[in-house]
Amino acid sequence: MNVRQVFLSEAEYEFLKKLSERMVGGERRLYSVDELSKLTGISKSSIESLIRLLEEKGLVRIVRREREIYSLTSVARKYMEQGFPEERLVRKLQESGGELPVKSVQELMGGEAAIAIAHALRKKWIRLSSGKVELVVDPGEALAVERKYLEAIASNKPQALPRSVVEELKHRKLLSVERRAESLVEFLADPREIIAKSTVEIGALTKDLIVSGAWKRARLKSYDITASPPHIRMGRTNFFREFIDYIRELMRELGFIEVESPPIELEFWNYDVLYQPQFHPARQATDTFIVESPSRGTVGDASIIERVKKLHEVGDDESTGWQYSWSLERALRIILRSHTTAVSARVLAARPTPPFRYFTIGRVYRVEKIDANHLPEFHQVDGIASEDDVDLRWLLGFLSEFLERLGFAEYKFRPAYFPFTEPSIEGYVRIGGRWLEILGAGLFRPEVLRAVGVDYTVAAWGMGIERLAMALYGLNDIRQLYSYNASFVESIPIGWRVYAGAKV
Amino acid sequence: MPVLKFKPGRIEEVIGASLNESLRIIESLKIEVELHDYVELEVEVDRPDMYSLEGIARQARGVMGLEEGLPSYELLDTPYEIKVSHVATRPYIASAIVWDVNVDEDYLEELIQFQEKLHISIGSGRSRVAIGLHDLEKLPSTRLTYAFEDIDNVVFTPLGYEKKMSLREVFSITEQGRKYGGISRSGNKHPVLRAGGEVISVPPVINAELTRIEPGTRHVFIDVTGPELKPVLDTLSILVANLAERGKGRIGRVTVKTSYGIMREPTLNHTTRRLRLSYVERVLGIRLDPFTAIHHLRRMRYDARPLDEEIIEVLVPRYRIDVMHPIDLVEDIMLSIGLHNLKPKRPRRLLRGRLKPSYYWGREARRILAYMGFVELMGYTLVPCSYIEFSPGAQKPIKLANPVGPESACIRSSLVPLLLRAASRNQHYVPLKVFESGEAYVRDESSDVKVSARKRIAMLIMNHRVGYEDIQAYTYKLLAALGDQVVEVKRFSHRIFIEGRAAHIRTQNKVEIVLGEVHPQVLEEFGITYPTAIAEIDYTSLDTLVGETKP
Repeated sequence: MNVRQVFLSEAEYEFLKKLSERMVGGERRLYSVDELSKLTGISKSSIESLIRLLEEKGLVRIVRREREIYSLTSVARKYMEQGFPEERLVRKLQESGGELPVKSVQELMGGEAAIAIAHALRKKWIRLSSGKVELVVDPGEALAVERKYLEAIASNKPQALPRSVVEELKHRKLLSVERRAESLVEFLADPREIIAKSTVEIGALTKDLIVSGAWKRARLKSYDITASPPHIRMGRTNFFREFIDYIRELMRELGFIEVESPPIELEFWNYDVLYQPQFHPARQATDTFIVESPSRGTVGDASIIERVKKLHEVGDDESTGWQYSWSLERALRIILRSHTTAVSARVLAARPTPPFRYFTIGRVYRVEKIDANHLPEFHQVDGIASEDDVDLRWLLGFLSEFLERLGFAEYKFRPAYFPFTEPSIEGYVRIGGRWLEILGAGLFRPEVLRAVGVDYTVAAWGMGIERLAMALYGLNDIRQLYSYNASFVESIPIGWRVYAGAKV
Repeated sequence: MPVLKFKPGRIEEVIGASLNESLRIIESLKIEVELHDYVELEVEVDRPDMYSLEGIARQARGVMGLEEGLPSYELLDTPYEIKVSHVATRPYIASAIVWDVNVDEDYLEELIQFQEKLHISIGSGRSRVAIGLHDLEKLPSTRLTYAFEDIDNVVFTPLGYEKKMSLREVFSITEQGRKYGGISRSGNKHPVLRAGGEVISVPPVINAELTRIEPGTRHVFIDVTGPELKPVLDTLSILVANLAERGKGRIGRVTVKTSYGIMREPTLNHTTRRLRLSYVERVLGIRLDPFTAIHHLRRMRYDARPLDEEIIEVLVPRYRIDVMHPIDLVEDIMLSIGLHNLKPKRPRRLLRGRLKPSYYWGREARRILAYMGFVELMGYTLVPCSYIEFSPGAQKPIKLANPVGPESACIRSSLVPLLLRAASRNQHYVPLKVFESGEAYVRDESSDVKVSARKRIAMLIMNHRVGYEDIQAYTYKLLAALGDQVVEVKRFSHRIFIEGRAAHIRTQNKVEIVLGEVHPQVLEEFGITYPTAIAEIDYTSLDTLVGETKP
């Protein structure tokens, strides 16, 4: 083949250069991958890919062929160590003065006697006559010829064995044969000639190439720009945490001031102030987490205890109360709050002066087994507001504003019941064709307002965050929000459309 | 919330309208409706008077304009009488008869459902209230006794069983006995209701087979017991009113004789309340004239009359135990008007919102860590109690009495063990750089809940070769980016760190940091096979430092 101008990658160039330096003669153009690897010191896997590239450029042809690989069987190894049966037979005969009855041979050699006799006969080392085995060869010359072949195979010498020998060894179960595919490389031109006519193509441009000016003599290779890029890692903030902060910022935008309180709470603030009677089923250990240690807290203001007790037990001039015997001991029990309204109760007990809007966002706890839809802990946002014209219509207006700012085009409200608000309503939004209940709201009951000692109307609302985040992020398992799989967390696309206020 | 199931045909029959129309009205009564081959109605817990179809119909037919105002029932005296001796654990009993209930198969199912929903809700699982329903005609006598009896001397055939057994056996053999046997038992004593000497009920556990209600039962005898009188009478009132809706409205009083006096219940006395129209306006944001208000109240089955232009007198039926305050009447006016008929009013006032100063510090810190290649994780606050050992600066755990499992039996006192957990779960993702921010909770006797919340950010690095100076470098870089600087560095000793490779740092902004190289013993315990270093930053001080004003 007449070599014209060729472009070589740096690796191809290196390979051909090493090969041409080390190849003997120059006439031989057929190499196995093994040989090329040994000659050039380049790994076999790299050679495999290099020859494929050179084949694409028409510089080599790859010939696939099958080769037989021989290896010794365990029987062969045993014979090599302990001697072939026919060899051992010769020794036995020699020790017994040149002959032995067949019976004795069988006793001495057991199961191998027949093999030994057969092969010794074939090699004309013995003769059988009237039940006796006689030695007919000089014991010094009685060496199995198979040994030579097996040694050659064991020492990995080129295995150009005659077919008949191979068959014989296989027949004696001394040889195992494995067929293996092999690539042979045929150079269509002398590597030295290829190098002489080549221009090197460069992949990565390096500082050395730039500084030395070598890039000028090289060609910058075109890449396969459609190939997938390598995987890279990045740092990022958590998508669910970002969503919670988004709600937080939205509340600020609506004029709410953030307040906080630990989720380790007294039943008093979580339930009693909120006019939820102590016999209420939700207050039982099957629903509310009770803290065993520490177990009892304190309420500093004796007057609020007095008012709460009275409202539960006998009511006041307007309310009948729940009419049961209220226990302070029970109210001082420490629990994990079941809703963030406990924080709102604390805020109201500080008797803020209207107009005000406060909110809190944090974790709440319910006795639930973990599955795809439930967690014993989740997040809520809770807001309270009081200003001149706060009433149910104001609350509906505010909630509409809130839901619209969240991007919901379709929402609706339904009457509902909560122990601490009256009237109470629930808010539903339409996501992906189905209605999702996402918030509860209402005006605090007069008993709650009396308990904390304020005389103005207060609107309150609360919303769970997880279900909303799942719906907007398209997740179907609540546990994904709390994933500890770093690569999963890294891979979730940021919900920028949500933050941009896109219509849901 | 109680979920009730009914056959669609029964709904049409009792409400007296097509299924669609009926369900539309039912939904307006804050009842959630789901339609399968049966109808599922989710009634709110404040309305036990709607735990039966007749109770829902009474309300629905009002809203439909078919029946308005107070429902009327005929109350009659009967010779039935219960003599009560001192029953220490469950002193109160009240009883009544409802005639012409005429139980059939469908209604029997509904009646059992009604009873069960009352048991669960108002009855607090039978401890507060227990209901016994009997076939009046099977009662052996009009003379009843309610007494605290020795459980070995009480022998009867319990409902659903074929042979007589002692009450002691009832506790161990029957399912109800095992479930409810402990509620009112005191030693060997238990409440027993007998008629003519024969056991008809052992409240709150089980009735006797003797007085079983079955299809064909015409009249119903009801007993209600409990440790407090009010819920007992409330429950009885609801039961008789709802059963009477099915019958011809005739209810019989049963005399209860006790050491403290004689009681003839039920009375079904309605209560009188006054409602100010200005109050209605203050709550709903609409001004009603007295006649419109009265119209809505009558549709909700109250009677009402105007006292003047401003005040309305309202008669509240006995079964409406949820009406505690005039606000509850306002709610019913709202239900009658329909929530969708109230026009939303958008807030007009301009108020300035404000977030916690620490929020901004935390937000920026989280961003900087992300810029430095850290991935933010968010985990649970409920953790195994053993995590306290890996929580620097905390000694005693905050422990739950009723955890759902050992993996979530304590509330976290540090983010460090959580990040170690994260490292163990990301052994394939090396080098790992992760952080978490959030609250950790520590014991604090000075707080009213004996715990205070600490705001924390913790970060962890894990790699083939990583150590103290690596985590130190990230920490210092973060502080510098936040405009803070280290003012004190002290040696820190804790079992999670290698001795001599951990520090406690204080900054100018009073931020406290614990950082160090994790001890191989701890790595082994968490199943971490790479060197790991951790820092936990406590920035709780930031809120007070910026001078936040409390509400």
